[in-house]
Amino acid sequence: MNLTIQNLNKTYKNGVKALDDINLNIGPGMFGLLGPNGAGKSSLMRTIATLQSPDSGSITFGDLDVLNNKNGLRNVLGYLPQEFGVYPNLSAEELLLYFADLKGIHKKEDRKKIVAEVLQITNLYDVRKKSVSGYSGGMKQRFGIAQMLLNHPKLIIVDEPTAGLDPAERHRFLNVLREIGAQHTVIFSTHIVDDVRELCHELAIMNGGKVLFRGSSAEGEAQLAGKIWTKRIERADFDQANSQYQIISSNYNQDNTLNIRVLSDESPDPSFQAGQPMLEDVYFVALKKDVAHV
Amino acid sequence: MFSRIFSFEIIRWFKHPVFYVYCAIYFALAYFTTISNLGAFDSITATASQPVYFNAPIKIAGFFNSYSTLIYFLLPTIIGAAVYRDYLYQVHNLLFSYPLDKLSYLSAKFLSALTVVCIIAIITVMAYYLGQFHPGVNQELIGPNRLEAYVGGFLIVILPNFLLFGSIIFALVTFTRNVYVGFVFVLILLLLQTVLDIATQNMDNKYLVALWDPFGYQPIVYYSRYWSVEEQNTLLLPLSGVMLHNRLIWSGLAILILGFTYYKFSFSQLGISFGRAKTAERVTKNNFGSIIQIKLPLVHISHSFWNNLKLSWRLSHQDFKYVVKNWTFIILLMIAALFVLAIMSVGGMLFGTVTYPVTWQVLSTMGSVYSFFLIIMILLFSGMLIQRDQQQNMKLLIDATAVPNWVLLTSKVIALFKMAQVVLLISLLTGVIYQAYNGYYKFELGHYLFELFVLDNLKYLVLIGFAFFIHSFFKNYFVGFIICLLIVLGMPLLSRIGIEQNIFKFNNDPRFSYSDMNGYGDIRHYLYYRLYWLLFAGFLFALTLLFWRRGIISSVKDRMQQAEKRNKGVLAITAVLLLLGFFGLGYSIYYVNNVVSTRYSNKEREVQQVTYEKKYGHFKKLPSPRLVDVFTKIDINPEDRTFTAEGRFIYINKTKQPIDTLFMNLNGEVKSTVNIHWALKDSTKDDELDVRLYTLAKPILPGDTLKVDYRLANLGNTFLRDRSIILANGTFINNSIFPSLTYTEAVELVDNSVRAKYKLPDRDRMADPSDSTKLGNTYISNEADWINFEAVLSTSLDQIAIAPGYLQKEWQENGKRYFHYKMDSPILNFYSFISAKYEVKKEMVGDKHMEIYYHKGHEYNLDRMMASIKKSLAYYESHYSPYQFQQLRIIEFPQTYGTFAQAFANTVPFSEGIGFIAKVDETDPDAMDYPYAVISHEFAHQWWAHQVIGANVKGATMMSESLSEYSSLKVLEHTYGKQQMHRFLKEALNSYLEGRAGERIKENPLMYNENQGYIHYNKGSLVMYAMSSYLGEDAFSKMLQAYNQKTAFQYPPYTTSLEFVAMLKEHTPDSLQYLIKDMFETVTLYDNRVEKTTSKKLSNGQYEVTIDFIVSKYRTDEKGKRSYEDSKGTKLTAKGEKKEINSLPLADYIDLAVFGEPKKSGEHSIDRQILSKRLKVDQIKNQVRFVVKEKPTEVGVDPIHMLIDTDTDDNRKKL
Repeated sequence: MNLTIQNLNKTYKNGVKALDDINLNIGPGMFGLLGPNGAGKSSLMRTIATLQSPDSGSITFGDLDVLNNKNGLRNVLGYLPQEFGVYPNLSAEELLLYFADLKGIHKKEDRKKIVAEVLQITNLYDVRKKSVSGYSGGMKQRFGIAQMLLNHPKLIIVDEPTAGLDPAERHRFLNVLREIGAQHTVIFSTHIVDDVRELCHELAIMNGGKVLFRGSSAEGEAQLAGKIWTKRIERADFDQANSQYQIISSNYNQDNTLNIRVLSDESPDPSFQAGQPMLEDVYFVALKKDVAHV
Repeated sequence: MFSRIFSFEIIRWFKHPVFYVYCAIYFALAYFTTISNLGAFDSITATASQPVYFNAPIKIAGFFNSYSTLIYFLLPTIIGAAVYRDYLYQVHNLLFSYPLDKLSYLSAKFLSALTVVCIIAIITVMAYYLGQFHPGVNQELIGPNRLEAYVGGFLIVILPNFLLFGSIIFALVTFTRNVYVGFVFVLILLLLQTVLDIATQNMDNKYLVALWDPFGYQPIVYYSRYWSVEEQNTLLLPLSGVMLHNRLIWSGLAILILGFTYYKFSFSQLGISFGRAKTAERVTKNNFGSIIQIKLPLVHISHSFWNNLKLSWRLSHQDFKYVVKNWTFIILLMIAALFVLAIMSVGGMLFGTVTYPVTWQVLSTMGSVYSFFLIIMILLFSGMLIQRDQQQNMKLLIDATAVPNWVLLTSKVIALFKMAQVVLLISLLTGVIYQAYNGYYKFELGHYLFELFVLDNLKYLVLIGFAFFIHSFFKNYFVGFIICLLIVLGMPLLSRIGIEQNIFKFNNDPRFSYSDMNGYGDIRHYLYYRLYWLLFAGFLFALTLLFWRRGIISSVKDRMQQAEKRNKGVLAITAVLLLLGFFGLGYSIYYVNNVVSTRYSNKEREVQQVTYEKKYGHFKKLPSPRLVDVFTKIDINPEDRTFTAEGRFIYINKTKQPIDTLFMNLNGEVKSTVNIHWALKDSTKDDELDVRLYTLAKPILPGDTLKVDYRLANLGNTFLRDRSIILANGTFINNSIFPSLTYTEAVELVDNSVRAKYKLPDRDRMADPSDSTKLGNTYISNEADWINFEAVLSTSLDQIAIAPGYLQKEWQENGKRYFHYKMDSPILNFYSFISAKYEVKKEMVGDKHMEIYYHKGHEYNLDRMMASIKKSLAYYESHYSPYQFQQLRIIEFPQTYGTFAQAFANTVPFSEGIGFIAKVDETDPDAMDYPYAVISHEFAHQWWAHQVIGANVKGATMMSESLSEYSSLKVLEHTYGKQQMHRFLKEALNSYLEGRAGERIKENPLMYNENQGYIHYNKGSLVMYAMSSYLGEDAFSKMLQAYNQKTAFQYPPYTTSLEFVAMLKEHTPDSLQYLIKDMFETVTLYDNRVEKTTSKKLSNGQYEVTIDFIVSKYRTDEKGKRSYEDSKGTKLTAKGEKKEINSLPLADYIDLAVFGEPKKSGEHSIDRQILSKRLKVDQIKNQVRFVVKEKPTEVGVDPIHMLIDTDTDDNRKKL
């Protein structure tokens, strides 16, 4: 089923335009939403998840009109917000049973069955009797996934789930997500390019409430083919280089020299080497272009 | 550092909108209270009037006291949270890494918060002051404003209390990091105030009470309790003595607490938390990185209505657990239970008397406490439940599930409802435990269950709906809570602006009342009102759903849009239906109350009183026929609570003038038809004032007889309520159901300031006894002297119907039971009809039939009552005159009518609420034998009212109430001995002094009292007892006997207090004539005290006691202004310790006594006089020496409090 977003707008009370005429069409599989903090990702995700009303625009999921049949969507929705807490002093099992209830699983056996299963999936079964409020960040995120799965969601929205996870946790988390993504539509927001690269076949880059890029990472990289040039420079020369070339990113080497990546239709200088476009380049180019427009 | 933090905090508050909300609320409340007290709403409500100035110093202090109590609710959030806030917002991590010093930090935090609270208090005070300049307020109620009074009030009541309670709350919240703890403390404070009030009423040592009251209100009471009106208007509260000491003690404690806080506080501390520490277990991660396969089992998902309902129930468990496991809840509940037990065990004092813990009384005593707590809990926990998801940051997870909003709200409503059941169950258990503890085993579980779980629940359910509605609009549940609380507490204030009907006041209803005799009686009106408010709550429920916060709401616009979207389908239809039901039922109730029956507002009633006087006042002077013979037939139908009555009344024109017009007052509570057996020319009806005027075709000439037949029936009972005056069991009605043929002066307004407003001339409450034209009526009836009386009553087969007179015949007919009563001698025009299921206790005393008609189960005090009847009869017959009837019947009636007893001819209806269930502790010398005393008082009325009755002028009640109360004291004295008397006398003295402090118009001397209870009962009994003591009981009884002989059963002109006092003077030796002037003719008070006393053992083993005592006497005018000069302008003065002592010239006889070791009687000790002397005193300062045989322990001047003295504590001194 496709999620179609048309002309979505939202301006907050303080004047911030969080969603600026967003149009997106998202098919099954993993969809990455990439953007810096404050780009409007969470607003978009919350709006899709029926937790916030847009000023205008429409969202459909399959033939379901999301904005006018919120509970219709919620029935098939799995949502994991950027941050969440739980009632204190309740174990994972108790809380999951509670969520199973909220999600309309009205038979007790059913609830027990599925809760046991999601606990297994998220590898929380051994600690199911422990209070969730005492969980580590990674376990809590896994709990978040567990609750998400309870209602067989067809649309899954996860908002920056990997922030603050250690590498092993992150890895495991992404594996679980990938597994789910194989069957459903998963929208996954992050500001970490690697997450998207590893996981998503399609993505959108957002900033300032706008979609700056929409496509697969291969498409994005193809657009930049032959336009990325790299060079190793001294730290002291950076300012000059910056004014001279369109630097999209730079990073330090251990000897305090810098690698810079420059966007240019042709080799700016023989000292540059041609670079292989990466998703990160696509991301930074999109952001830079947007800034240039403003 | 200090000033930085201080000013930062102050500025922060000034920028915070909540501060202005608080200021506005308190300002508005205080302003409103002020102007409504000052009569700003007189155009729509009854006229406000009182003799003590609204801004008298004592009133200011009282106002400050009550408003600072309201402000205590802000202490936890403002003072308590001052430091806690830094933890809450995690500022402490940063802040405490700075080089702060503890003293500046803490003191700045505390003092800035204290300043903010004081500013709010000052704004409240300003509202009180400014309200006095509101246009349209009655300037007569305002005295001169004195800055000292305001400053004094602030310094006495506000500042020290904020300091004390603020410091405690500051410490509590800072250390526990929990604002609730502070809040619970405020609740405890409120209760403590009530407990102290109750407990201290019975404490003898008022000084200690005043010294240790943490609220600083008892010292005010200590000084001002007996202040007369004049004194209340002029005296400032002293900032010295016990007041100062009290304030210093508690402020000192506050400083200690602050010091302790300083000592204990450390910048790195963790909060102390209640409750179990979470069991910490190490949780380790394992085996990551495995690739997994997800295959979720198939489950059935359904959101059908039925499943959703079940879901609401299941979800409620979660919320319910959260509430009942919450420490705030547990602590509140424990306090409630302890508090209830504390109140109930303060001697089980209810209505000032100790009674058996019968279920209805236990329910009513603890009901108010538990309901107070339950209301607080509902208002608080509804907020916590509704904000909980947000606070735990779980809201988005929940809101993204497909659970409908109504399921969430319903589950929370159910959870709170379950919480209410827990509280009610605990209250039931408390009640039963209390009863069992007191050895009372008649557990009426059904009664408990019905009242608590049916009747009361209906109230809480409405409140729950309301609380969720309000809270759904506030993100901060403390604000929501305060708003809820103010709305609930503010409802009664609506009457002040003329909104008097229950249907306009949220969650109000005409309450139900229980009686052992009549059960809940006609309860359906309560149920209808409950249904009415439930419909409203249902509508609020729908509104709450409409505005339910699902997901993230970023603006009001968002919310409105969402509400608009939701406003359709089932929700919209339900809301409309509920609203229609609400209005429909509301209109039906309104219709019944305002159209079917006429309802008058207080204002309208006031205007009616004026109209009555203006329109018909001239009938006062016109002659009217006098009632001489009454024959009635009353058919009472308890089954359907209806009745019909027939009265055949005979009147005679006893005047010397012809009567051409009849003025008739009807009773609006019954339907009346009148048949006058006289040719009429014309008649007019005034239905609003229930007046009929009949112009006669030919006048009734002097001596002519007029017959009038009346037919009465009850007003029709409506769907909403019974309008009939008949009860299913225990009907008690009196002669006032019948029309009367005279103008009723009692209808007129008596408050001259209100009269002036309507341009009516000033009047006294009663006429002057020296006005011989006013002696034609007794104070019982203005249309009859002595009447012949006969009545035939019918009632249901299982009931007995009673009226004055002797039973002539009893029979059954048409399924009803008939009783025919007839009086053999004329009686006052004052009779009653009673019908109930009775058990009867009968005894013959000589040739007199003594009978007690009581409700089955109320056997407790029958023997005591019978004993009182016998003792009283013996005393009264031997000291006054023979009992005029062959029979006396004590008849129990339901407390629905009140808790009193009343004496009719040979018939004494006596409320079930007093006496019958009284529990008398025989071993306690201080315990009052109420049933005994009340019976002897009412029985005495057969002489002092039913034989001798005063004319309807000032002082009339002295010959009935004062003498009956005196008679009762004498019977008690002869039964229990003299040592009990000081207790009764002190009780009487206290009631008198309190009564005069609350006098609204003027205090009259005893012989000119205008039916003023505190004078004719309390002062009257003291005065008569003192006279009897000074003259000797025999001499005084002889005088009463002579007076009785002269005036019993007389016809007009009726006797007056002038005649009584004149006769008393004849029986009083010259040396004691001053007593009559002091006690009867003027308001005279003593200020006697023992200054110093010593004793030394003599060589012969005896003891010499020296007593230095002071006697001072003064008179007061009707407002209480003191004067020390007699009519010749002489006064005595003496040097006192601090200031000069004045006195009227003295030649007074004063009692002195020396006490020995008290006698032990069980666990009580009884005073034992070893010497008692009456001395003539003509000086202020006196010294006497006595020699006594055994070791003296205490001495006293006027030791049994026979004389009127505002401070009796200093009358005795221990050696």
